[in-house]
Amino acid sequence: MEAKEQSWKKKKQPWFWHWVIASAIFRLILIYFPKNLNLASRPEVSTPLTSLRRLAEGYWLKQSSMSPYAGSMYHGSPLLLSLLGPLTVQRIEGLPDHLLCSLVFVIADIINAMLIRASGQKLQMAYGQSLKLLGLFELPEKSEIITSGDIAALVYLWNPFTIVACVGLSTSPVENLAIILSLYGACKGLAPLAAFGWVMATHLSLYPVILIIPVILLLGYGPDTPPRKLFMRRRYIEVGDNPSKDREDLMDRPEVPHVFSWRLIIHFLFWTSLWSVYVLVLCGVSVKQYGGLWELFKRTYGFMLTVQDLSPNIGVLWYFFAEVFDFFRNFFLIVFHGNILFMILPLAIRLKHRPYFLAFVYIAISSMLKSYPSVGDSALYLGLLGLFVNELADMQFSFFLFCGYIGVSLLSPVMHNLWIWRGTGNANFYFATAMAYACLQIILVVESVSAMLNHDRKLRKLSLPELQVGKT
Amino acid sequence: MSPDRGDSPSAGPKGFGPAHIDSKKIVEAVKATRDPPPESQESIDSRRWIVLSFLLIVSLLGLPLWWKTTTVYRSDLPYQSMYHWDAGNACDPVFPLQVVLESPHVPVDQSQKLLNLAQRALDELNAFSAHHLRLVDSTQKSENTVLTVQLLPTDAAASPTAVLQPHATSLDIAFAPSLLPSSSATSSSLASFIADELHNTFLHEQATIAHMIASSPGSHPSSKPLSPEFLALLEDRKTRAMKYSPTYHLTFTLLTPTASPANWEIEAAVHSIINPLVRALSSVSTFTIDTQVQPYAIFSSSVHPVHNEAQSAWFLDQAELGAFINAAEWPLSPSIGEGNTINFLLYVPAPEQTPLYIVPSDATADASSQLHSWLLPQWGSAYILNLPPSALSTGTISAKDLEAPLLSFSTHLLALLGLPEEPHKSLPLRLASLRRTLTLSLLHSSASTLGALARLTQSLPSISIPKPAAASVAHTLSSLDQACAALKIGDFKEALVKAREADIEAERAFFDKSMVGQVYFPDEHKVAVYLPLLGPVAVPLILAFVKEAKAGVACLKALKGV
Amino acid sequence: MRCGSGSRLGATMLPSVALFLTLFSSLLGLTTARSPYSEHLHLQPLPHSLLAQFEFSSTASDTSLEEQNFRFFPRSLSQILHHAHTKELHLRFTSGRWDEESWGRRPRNGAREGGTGIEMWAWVDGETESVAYTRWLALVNSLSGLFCASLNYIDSTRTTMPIAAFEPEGYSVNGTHNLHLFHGTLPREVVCTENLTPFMKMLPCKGKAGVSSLLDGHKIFDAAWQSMAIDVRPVQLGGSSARGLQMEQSIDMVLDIERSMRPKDDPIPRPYPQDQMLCDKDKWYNQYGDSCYPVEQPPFPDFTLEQVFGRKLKGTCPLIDDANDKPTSICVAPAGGQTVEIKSAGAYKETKSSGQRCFRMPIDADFDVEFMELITAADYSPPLPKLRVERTISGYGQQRGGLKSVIVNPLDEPVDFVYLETLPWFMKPFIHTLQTTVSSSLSQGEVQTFRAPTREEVINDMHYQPGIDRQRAAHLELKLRMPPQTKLTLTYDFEKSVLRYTEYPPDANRGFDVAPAVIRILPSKPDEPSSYVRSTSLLIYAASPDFSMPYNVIILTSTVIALGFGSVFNLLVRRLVGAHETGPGGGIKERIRGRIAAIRAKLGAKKKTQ
Repeated sequence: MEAKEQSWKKKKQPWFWHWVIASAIFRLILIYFPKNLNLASRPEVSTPLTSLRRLAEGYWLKQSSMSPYAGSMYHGSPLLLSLLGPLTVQRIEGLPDHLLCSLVFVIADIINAMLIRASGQKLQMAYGQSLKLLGLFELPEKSEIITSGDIAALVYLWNPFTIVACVGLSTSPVENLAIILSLYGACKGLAPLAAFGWVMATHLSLYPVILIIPVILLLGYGPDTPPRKLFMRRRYIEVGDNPSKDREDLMDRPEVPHVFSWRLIIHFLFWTSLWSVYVLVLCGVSVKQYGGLWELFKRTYGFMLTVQDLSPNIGVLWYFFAEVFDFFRNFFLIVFHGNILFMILPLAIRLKHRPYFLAFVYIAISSMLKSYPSVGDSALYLGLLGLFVNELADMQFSFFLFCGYIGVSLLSPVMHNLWIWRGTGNANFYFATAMAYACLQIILVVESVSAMLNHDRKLRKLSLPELQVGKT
Repeated sequence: MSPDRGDSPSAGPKGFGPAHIDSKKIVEAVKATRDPPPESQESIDSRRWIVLSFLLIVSLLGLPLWWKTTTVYRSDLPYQSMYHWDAGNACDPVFPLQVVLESPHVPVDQSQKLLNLAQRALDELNAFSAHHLRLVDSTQKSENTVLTVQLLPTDAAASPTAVLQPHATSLDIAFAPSLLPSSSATSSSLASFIADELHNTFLHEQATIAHMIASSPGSHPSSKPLSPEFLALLEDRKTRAMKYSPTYHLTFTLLTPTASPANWEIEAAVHSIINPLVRALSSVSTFTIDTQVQPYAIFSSSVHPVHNEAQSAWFLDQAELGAFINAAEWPLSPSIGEGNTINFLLYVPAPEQTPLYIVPSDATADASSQLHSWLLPQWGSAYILNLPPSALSTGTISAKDLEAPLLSFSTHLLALLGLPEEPHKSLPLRLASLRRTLTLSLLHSSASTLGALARLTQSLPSISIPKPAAASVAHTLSSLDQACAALKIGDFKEALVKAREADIEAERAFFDKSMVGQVYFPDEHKVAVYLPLLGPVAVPLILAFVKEAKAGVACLKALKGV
Repeated sequence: MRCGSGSRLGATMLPSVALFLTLFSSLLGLTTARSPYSEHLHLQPLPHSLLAQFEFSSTASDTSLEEQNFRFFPRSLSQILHHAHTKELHLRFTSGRWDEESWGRRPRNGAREGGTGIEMWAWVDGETESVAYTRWLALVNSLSGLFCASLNYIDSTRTTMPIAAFEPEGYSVNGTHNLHLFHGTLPREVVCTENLTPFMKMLPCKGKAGVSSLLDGHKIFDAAWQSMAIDVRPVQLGGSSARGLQMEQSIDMVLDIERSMRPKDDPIPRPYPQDQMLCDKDKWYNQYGDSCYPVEQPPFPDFTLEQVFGRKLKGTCPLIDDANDKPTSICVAPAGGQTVEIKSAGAYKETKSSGQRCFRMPIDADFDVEFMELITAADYSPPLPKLRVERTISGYGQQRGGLKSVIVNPLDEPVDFVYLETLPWFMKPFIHTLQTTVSSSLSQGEVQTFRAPTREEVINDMHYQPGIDRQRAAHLELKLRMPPQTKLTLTYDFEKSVLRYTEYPPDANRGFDVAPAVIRILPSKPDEPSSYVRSTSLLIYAASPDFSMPYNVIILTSTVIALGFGSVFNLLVRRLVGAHETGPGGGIKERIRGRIAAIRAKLGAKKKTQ
């Protein structure tokens, strides 16, 4: 089977690489358009947190010996500032401004795709292996399984959201890079890498902090598998059925790692603390003369949690907090952010055997409820969705969702234009599309989770009755 | 790849092998089982865990946060004692006036005897227990002493005479030494005379205080009914007097309809006339004095003086005086900073309108009785100064010309401060009496403010009670108690200070800005805001919990049964 | 210093000597013994309009202020200043726009005018900045009560503390420590009659005599441009010992003569009747008297003060005393070759000086000045302004824009100036996009030789304090230097943020006003006062939410969120049961699934073929 897959991949390789290169070239072409097609000014692309313009302003303030957080301009991380800031002021004659930053983002995107692909292959191997364990090896052979890694990578690279976010000078590719890095590291069982990714992601945009649960599960149980109980029952049945049969065929079968490996977790936690101390020290050094870490947290995380900037974006919170009565402000601030926390634990209980999918669900939910969402976040979870193309093969409403995403991404600019530029519409127009977008994301989450549960159930059905048939 | 879809096109092209088996199997399965197979234990457990975790998060995290973020802050007030004060049960004010009997020229035993007799006579005279005089001999003289009685034996006087010092708190009694009571005497005309004098001196104040206490809530009925004219007097004083404040700004304004006189020697005049008075009053309040000159200031057009050829003078009807002040054009804005402003207007009429007199509105008074000044209740006083042309020509009003107006101003000032008329001979005594009445009224007003605050906050549950308000309520109560205690020992200065503090703090608590925040957010609106979110969230949670609970109970029963 | 000022007068046709004497002397703190009260009116015809400058100044010694014995110094104002520990106060009520092209240089070098609306700045005493700030708030609140203006809206979001844009005029204000300068603007405020009434109340003569008798609210606020100023500053009285406060109240206005001479009963402008129309006699068709080719009215028509102001000038105010160092209560500076006639009911004194005639009016007698018509005004050219500034908003849309201000230096000497800009917090400037371009305004021939200076040469110094949401206004101060006869263009981008719906003004769709930029032209010689130019105010059109929506938005949003939560919850606690396990009824579902699967199969096939 491995051999087969290899050959099949060989067949695929050139095809895949062509598309990757094509996507890179496509991005570069877009970058060379004047003023990035004004994508940088789109509210869907550049939020107060991810806009490079604000980062440049923050860098300017820093250069003129002021706190980059003075004034409500820049709210990102100081490390990103010192990383990208110098690039924003570099101008090359005859080339578009911010060319270097754009290149950085393109590279980040390519790396993201590669990492997704690699983790996809890992997932798939684990998948095939578990199927084999369940004695369903016919399935992979007969219906050739699409290599979800390549699919996911290409989906990520060619997703218009990703392209727009990359060309539109928003820092979300870098944030996504951190997230994917940690997931990849967890997948491969590289605790330091996972820890680094997680710390960086949390530092850049607060919300990935919830990813610590899937990361730990990934490290502990290894990549996604069907529910663990299946293996027990399977082996129990086999052993129980034919004691006469010698055990070799059972023995030579690779053992399923259904033991929770604490060693890796300890590693991970150790590295996490190490990296976070490191990051904190770096931040502390960079903002020492500007009020220290506390000021930094107030300006970045505080700014995210208490939705202060109400400039429109594809989320629903900006309009909500523009209209809500001051008396309820705190209440709703807490409720909307607590909503994410409410879902963490139950989802983890239900999907603990599929940590990578759990991570996908978390990312989707948080990108729906976060205070300043941008299409970059959607790009990330849509790309990850591609990893489960086999498991979610019979997801409901997928066509409807597809159309919905297209519709929203077409309508939202139109409504924004009607409201802001033409002045013929009002805020409700744009808000309506934001609501529709939120609904789509909810449906996506619900349907994907239910499809995944169905899939597990089917595997059970497949793996158990077949034996009974064999008996009769 | 789902097996239960053998017929679906997706499985079509590649659907042989297991797929077929599956479909067959399914058919059998469908035939075999109609109702779903029993659920496995793990899934039941995991579901219980999920429901439990939801409930835990919501109840441990959600509800407290909801409570915390949407409750208005209400620090608890001492309602009990507030109502207690409001009802007037907390403290019944008493005014023990200490009077020292000084008799340097009288042997001690006789003076002692005299003191006892006089005290007895006083107690017989006095009908009102809350306000009584205590005679002590000179050894017990203290700063609480209200009045000193000087016994001056003189042979000349046949019958004793009493003289009240105008500028000191002392009553001189001249008498023939023969009147001194013998050690065995049970009564003495001198003692009763002294008692009468003292009683009459404080009669007015006593009546006033009796009236105030009687009119205050929760008071026991007044001892003896007061005469209607006396009540009218009190009422009149009340309407004229300004609301008490610890500081008063006295503003003297010179108003002329023309350009001259634009100068007045007010500094000297104020220094000689007003300052001494203010100094004397400084124990009650503090005063600031400012003066201004306003040329081209004409009284309001609705006032029309009539010219009387016979006396070659202009006459202003007293009824019109109310409209005389031209508030629109005259810059008489109250002074900056706390405290009330008392305006004293000196109006010098235009040369062609001089002299300008005021005719009393009642026709009985003859036109010759020329009024110059009148008092504007709770606002100030005005004076029309008719200058001779000679004085007008200089363009400056001399200090001599200012004397008459300032004197009338000073009397009006006393009236505006609510100074009692009796005993009109001695200013210090009147001041002391004013201090006592003020203390009492301040006690009453701050107590009623407390009561109003308590009622308000209890009737409006949605109003927030900030910490500062609660703090000032506590401060009010404490200083009220202190004032009451000070009254009991007869330390009236201290009592006034404390009562003033209490009043200020009570006002501050009552008019706290942050208290009127969320009053106008009705509850049905809150429902409209909460329901859409909390309804859909709560319903499935509760249902699932109920279901699980039932199941749990059922299986427990089953276990018991087994 | 007299001759110095004289030479300046010679150089530039500027209003009156006396004004400059006051200005200088007060600046240098060399004020000689002055009368407690003096007033002055300066009239200067401008093309089709009349520039009238009223000035009233009263002084009070510190001793009299401490004893609170007020004569002509207004009691209320002095009490407010004392209460707020304010050493020097400048308050401006301005409306309209000064037309530099046709009127030339600004009166008093712009030192007594403010930006559109209300502008005030003060030096407040305070140990710490916060103490001083609370006092500033107290000052603002009590002044708003005094002047019936909404000054109390000057809060922390409208207050800035400029570094170099203003300097104290008062004696020894600069030296004393812990003085803090606060500056606030209300560009939206509409100045009108109710602000004039308290202003008049402060005058000793209250508009009943003296030049103030000309002041009429309807005329003032109907003027093409008017600026009402109140300046209080400490001065030195007489010798070196006595100190005091001096209050200068001034009203400068430019009245459109034709407009203000319209009769009260029908103010609607109508075409002139045939006989009054000025016709161009050269046109051939004028020979038949019925047709007329109208030529425009002469730039300097014939008018009298009473016609223009609609009131009589009732002589001098008798309260100014003769020890005054400027016995002239009214000065007239007619345009070149214009004749002026005096109609006075009493005896008056006249003193002639360079280019202007000053009069001492009689007391309690009407006085009127008639300006004779001047048709040939070819030689009239207004004095060049030191700087010309215009500020505009580039770009459109309600979310982002650019701010562009063009500054022209018409003179042939380089100019150093300070450019002060105060932006409301919801207008977020990107200062890193600040760009300066200098171009020559010379004729083609010389442009070749012109070398555009670099940005560093233009911007000598820069102070920027970014705004904070709902707390502080952004405040930009630039110290610039312009070569002679050049045009400087400053541009930067900004973003407008959406506010909470309670933070919008009542008419949110009108937009937000942005305070004018203040330009302080630094003097070339040390002993000169610096002159000021202000741009016009801007109107920003910001995006606004739908104000009728609160409940709808709350309900919709929270429903969606709650439904998401509920569905996820159901999904997690629901027991999954295969269709075949339950009885019939799954059938329909199965068919639908089949359809979907078919569609996906097709899609998949397509994908493969690619």
